[in-house]
Amino acid sequence: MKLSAKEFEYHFRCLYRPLNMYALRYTENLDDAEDIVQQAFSDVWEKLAEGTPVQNLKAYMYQAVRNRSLSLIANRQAHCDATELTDLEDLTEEERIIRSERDARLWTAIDHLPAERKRIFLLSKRDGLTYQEIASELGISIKTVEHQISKALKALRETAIKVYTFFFG
Amino acid sequence: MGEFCLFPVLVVKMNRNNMEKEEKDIRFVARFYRENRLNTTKAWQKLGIRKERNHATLLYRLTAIAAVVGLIAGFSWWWMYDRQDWIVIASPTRTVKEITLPDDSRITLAENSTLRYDRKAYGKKNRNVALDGKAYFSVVHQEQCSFTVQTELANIQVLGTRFQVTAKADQTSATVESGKVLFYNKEQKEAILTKGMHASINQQGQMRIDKQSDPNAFAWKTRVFVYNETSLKKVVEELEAVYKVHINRVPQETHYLTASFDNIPVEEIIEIINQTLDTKLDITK
Repeated sequence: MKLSAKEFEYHFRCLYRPLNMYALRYTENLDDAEDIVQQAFSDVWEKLAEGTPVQNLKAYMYQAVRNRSLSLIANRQAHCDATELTDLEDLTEEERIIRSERDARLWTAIDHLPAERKRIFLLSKRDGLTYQEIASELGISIKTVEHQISKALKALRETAIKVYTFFFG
Repeated sequence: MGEFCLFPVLVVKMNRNNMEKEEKDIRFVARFYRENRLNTTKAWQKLGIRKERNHATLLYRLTAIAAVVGLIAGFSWWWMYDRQDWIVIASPTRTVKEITLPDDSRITLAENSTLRYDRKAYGKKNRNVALDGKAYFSVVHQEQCSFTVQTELANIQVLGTRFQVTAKADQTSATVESGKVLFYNKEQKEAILTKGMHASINQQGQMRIDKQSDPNAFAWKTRVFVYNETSLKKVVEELEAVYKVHINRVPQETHYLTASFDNIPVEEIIEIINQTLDTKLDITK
């Protein structure tokens, strides 16, 4: 498969976020995930430029990111106390890819939430604050917090099940 | 920049198990979510692929941009300098029009007259206007750029002054109120006219110059009339022409009038004449 820079950019844009989510499932660290994906793309481009054929870029990239993630974890475990390998729920390779793509859509959906709603949503789901804590933190009623979070969840669910088409910002 | 991607996503009927899974996934993504991270465009730029690959393209693009800029410049030049854009001002019957040109020169256009000038060139390349009919000009003085009235039979060129031109099919004439005017035709027949002078040229190219112009030459514009032992018949003709009225009961016998009227209503003029000459003139509009 010979790719022009333009074709390669198209693949990059489609795969970048899903691959990051894929790496995140293993590494559970955003910086590590970004480094792994960036490096994997850089390496494959070099390979392509040298003329090495890559049959299926998508499959190849998921494989590369998985291998790098696993070796990073192995490296981590050698240095620290061993923690159990993340439970990947016995999913098939295909199912894991599909889940990563959905995760990427969720990330983008959070990106697109209105600022105030996003803040309340993240305080709850990311930072683990209770509705009461969020309400007193922001000086708003619990009702408003509930309302904003249910709206955010609705938006995320709608994007998560959207079929076939999607924008990655 | 968003990119449109196609993914075959399985549509799964939502049951409680799926709901729980989804809730878990949302929690997972939210846990790692950071504002402005995983920016696809930034990551792509970091990869630096476009730059090394596109030196040739860049040069090609610069050439293309230069070509387009050149084209636009050329087209604008042609548009600005080679194209003419004539403005035509025409006055209907019974209406006098006041016109102010871009250089603040003022023109009073008599009824049934037409004035044209090239908007693109006027004040830049020249100060040329073309006249058919009668007009009074009050031209702003410009040392480097003379003002020219072009008519069928003659041209009138000035630097800045007040004068009047009448251009008819068989005769063009000019009357100078102040300053100096060059009156010439295509055969280089020319005359310099000064204050109060009148010149005319006919179809045969014959020129006639009067040192003393008709004192009422500007009356159509100023409504100032000066009569000195003038026959009543001529007075009536002039008043009818300027005020667009019809004057009745003009006596058969000859009367002579000496008077001046300075922009007053025609009814008052008739009143004065009637009292002076003991006539019974009246007017219908």
